[in-house]
Amino acid sequence: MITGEHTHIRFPELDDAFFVRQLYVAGPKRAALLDSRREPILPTTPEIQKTLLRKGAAQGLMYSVEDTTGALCGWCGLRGINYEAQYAELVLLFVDAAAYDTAADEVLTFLLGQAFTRFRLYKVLVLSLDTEHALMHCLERHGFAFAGAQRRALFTGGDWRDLRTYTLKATDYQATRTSTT
Amino acid sequence: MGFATESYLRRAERDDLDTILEWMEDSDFRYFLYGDDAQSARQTREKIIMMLGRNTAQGMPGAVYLVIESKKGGLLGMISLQNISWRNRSCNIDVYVGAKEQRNSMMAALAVFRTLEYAFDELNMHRVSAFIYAFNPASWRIMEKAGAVREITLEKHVLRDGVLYDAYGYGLLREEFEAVRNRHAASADKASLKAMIAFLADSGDAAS
Repeated sequence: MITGEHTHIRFPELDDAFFVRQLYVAGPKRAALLDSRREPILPTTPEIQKTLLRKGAAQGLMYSVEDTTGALCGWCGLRGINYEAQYAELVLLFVDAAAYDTAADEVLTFLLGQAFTRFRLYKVLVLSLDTEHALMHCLERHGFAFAGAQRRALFTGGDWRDLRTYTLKATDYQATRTSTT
Repeated sequence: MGFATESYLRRAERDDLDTILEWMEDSDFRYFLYGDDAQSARQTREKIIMMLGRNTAQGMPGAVYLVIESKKGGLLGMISLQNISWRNRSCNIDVYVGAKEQRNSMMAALAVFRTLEYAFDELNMHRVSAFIYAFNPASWRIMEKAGAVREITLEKHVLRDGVLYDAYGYGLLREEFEAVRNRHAASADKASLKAMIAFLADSGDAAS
């Protein structure tokens, strides 16, 4: 377990499936929970448990995030690693938007370390709906660059939503770290 | 026979299997689209059979596979509308011209134009996306001519022959396509899907 000031980051356990399902069921739509057609999906708890047992989760690419009381507050990780072009999609989900200002800093520091040091990736990508303001502010604060938006990619709540893509290159990440240390 | 009637689109079918297999095994296919050198011919064949099998005439398919054909030259290329989302009324378009001598001809642009008409006018799509590599200007120029907007630039995103190239995400909304079609109404009418079907019907072939 990685213990920080605001969070504990650990490998997911089967029981976490109930928490992850709530992310799909309740709250606003999130880009990280859409399928390849950009449609919202509603997996069952056993289906999520099956995913948690898969190689990626077991090898430590997906993580559960607890707050300091031990309650689950987020879900994060790297997925779709392309070893050839050296990039991956970074996933960062918190139940409470305020966590993107506090807990997210620790989680991002950990995930970017994994991406750029452990896996030696060239860049990471993050997808965000135009309604995920807390996530977007968090990414911009961490030096992510806006790569563009797929206009009107998702229809939800009677309206069209854009799907935005942010990227962070290893070189920019290292430069930011050097300038802040 | 003018350029507008020289080639036409039809649904891909089992009889096209050998030609499509040949294209997919060509290194150009992997270079411009996707695929893995480690994949065996059998695995590619199974993939195509599955792909063509999914191409149902009825219902709400997840993908539509079309071939570009001409009476003179036979099969020239293939176009697919994939990842169709009936909820978002969106899909991705992929184009591959197998006949190398035709790659820079009007044929590809014409086939894309007709496929876009099919997507917007028949399938009632609202948005068509394309993911195209920077080293393939012939493809992204066709999309731009059709009104598509380069929405995303992913720097150094795809590795080819040891070099990382940029990749572009294009998006075409229905009203953008309609604006282009209206602007070029005279030539668009002659090149349209409707005109193609009428020509095939007149020449004794039922458009499929």
